[in-house]
Amino acid sequence: MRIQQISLKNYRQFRDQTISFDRPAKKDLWAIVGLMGTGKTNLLNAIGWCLYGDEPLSSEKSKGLPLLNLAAHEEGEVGHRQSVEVEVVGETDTGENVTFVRRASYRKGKGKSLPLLEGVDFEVEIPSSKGSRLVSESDDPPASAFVERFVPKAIRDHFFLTGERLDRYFRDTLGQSIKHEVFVISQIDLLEKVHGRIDKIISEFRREAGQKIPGIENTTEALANCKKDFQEKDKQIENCKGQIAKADLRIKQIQEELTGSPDIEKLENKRNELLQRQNIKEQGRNDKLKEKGELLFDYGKILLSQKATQRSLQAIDQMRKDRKIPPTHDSDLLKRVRREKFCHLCGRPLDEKSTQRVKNLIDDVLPGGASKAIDRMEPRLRQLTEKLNSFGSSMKRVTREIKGYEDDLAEIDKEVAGIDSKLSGYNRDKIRRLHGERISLEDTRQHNTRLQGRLELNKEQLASQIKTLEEQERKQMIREGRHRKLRERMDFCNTAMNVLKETREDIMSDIRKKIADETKRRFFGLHWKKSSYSNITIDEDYRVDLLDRSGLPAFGTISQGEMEILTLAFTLALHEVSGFDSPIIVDRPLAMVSGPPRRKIVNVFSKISEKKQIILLFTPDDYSSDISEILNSQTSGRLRLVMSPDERETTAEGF
Amino acid sequence: MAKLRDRLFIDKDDKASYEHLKEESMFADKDNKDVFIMAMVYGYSRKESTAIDRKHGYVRTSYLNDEDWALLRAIALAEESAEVLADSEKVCQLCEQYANAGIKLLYGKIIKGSFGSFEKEFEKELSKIHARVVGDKS
Repeated sequence: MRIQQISLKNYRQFRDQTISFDRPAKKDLWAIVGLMGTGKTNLLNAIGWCLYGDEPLSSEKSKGLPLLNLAAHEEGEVGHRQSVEVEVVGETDTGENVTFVRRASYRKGKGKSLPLLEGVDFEVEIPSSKGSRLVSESDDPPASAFVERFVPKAIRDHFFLTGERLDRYFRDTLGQSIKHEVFVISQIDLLEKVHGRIDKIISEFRREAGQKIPGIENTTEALANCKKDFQEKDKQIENCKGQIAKADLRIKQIQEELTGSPDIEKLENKRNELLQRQNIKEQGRNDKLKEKGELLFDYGKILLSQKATQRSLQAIDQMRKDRKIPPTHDSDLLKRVRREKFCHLCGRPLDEKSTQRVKNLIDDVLPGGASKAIDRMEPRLRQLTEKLNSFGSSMKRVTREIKGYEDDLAEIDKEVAGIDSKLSGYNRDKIRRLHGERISLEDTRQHNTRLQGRLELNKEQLASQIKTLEEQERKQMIREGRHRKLRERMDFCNTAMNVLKETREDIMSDIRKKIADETKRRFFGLHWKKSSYSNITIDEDYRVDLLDRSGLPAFGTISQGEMEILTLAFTLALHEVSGFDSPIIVDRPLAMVSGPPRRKIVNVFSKISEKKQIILLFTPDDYSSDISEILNSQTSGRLRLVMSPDERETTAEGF
Repeated sequence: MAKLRDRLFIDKDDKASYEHLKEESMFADKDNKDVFIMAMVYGYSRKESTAIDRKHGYVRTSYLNDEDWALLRAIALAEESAEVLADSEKVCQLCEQYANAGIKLLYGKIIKGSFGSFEKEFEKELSKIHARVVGDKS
């Protein structure tokens, strides 16, 4: 089915506008061009509102405003009713029309108040043997059921796209939600419904068995509880998978955002560590500089006075030679010897002559003070002279140690400068936050993975218990031969459930493979750089990955234009597999693409339009000369949205 | 033998120079007597000695240890006969005059030079003296 016509009455900028897309002979390609604010996105919103009752692309600001065109509202009289109406006419492959109409009634209040919404109704006019018939929401099936046969609500995002989000399609769309959508479009939900119905029937049989067969109630109850637990575990596992997928997706986004940016936290830790080491080294260097200063001071005193020391020692030696001073003597010992008149060296008492000799030694050789002074200064001067020998080695040692510290400090400075250079130009707070978020997400992921593992184990145990209980229940029923028919019915239902389950799994696997193959076929058919990539993979949770020539994931390096092609390939694959051959409407398909890929993307749409209706909405900037050069000759129709001078009404004009 | 006086004198005008020197890295944490002795040996090494105009007691002699006295006396003995050693007043005067000249030279050298340059020059000077002494010995 394709869109044949859209009519808008009093819907936002559109006062009374009908846009027709008459079936063309060849390419079903349409271009609508309008400045910002003329209503391109609202055209998509109008389709959404008509079919599903909401506006998927409306801004937060406009969400609170009534749909009613402002000019219409102002022109109306207080108390009068006005209606907003959007009609989408679909055309089946056989040329029959299905018309979807949604109306909202408003009543004008007093003063400047907003119009009051009184009600909304939705109708579908479908072809019938008598021509056509109207179906409302109160009918069975309701009108909305027919929308599901046009574009199911769950997968509408794969039909009505916006270019501003196209490059983020796989980032914004969780694998789990795609899986769910595939579930819907592949109509496996029908199997699921049948499964649910049979399960209900089995429960009824069990209740019946419980009433008829004594003692079976316990088994039945235990079985019911086990099954309930099993389903609960299943839900929890799905929830874990969802959490893991969500975390994976965000981790991937963060990794892409962080590509090329430094690990701020690691670098800052390293920098802080270096600064701490720098402080320690500086302290060490300063201590050594101080030590060197002290050495210079101490050796300075000795070396600058060295001549005096040398002369003094020479003079002392000469005096000693001239016997002006006694040989090395202990003045205290001499005094004691003289006082006690006893020589402590030879152990004999002193005679008068010896006593006088000792007295002379103490007093007479030099004036008393000079002798004492020499006595005290000489060993010190010799010590100082001796100390001079170590000057060279002490200075070398301390200079070497200072150099060691300075070399270390220069190395640290270099490393800090290197880190500073790596960090410059980055938003450190943002990168730090992203790193923190990634760590937290990795924790969440790990937690859910473990939880999922435990739940899977519980589920297996429950499955085993269910099997045992079912067997037990069966045996109990066999023993009670009277209810053979009931038992056979239950057996049949159980077998049917197993078949349904296996079928569902087979279909899901088959569909996934088909979507992967189809996406791959489409992508490599549409892409202009075929040799850059080797494969497209879709895992069990519908996470799509594009692999480069080396077989490595290429999402981090893929351009926005390429991402758009991949999105289109995937969308077309979904259309193909789902069987919903509905149109694709893209708001601003070139919004995120620049340069030569723009022409290539437009050519891709043109190619697709040979088999499917494509409606593209452009700004005049997007619809530049290079684009119009292609589309002017290939489109079936081109419209320009023009805003009235008072900016209250948009009209569509062909060009 | 004259009684040892209780102070060593510096020129009153040089007191500020002594205090300023203590703010220089090589002289940090040094006592008055250490700076005095350094000024003394600096003056002696340059054979500069001048009489003090206005005396100001700066170093308590009781604070001088044996090593300090050995240096003071060595300077005195290098200039005079051995008897000078019995005359502490003479020893003090000789040393004060060297310190008086030395502090002016030292202060001028340190304050007029760029930061850290004195230490480098001083180290070079000491190395030269050391090399000469070691050479003389060998």
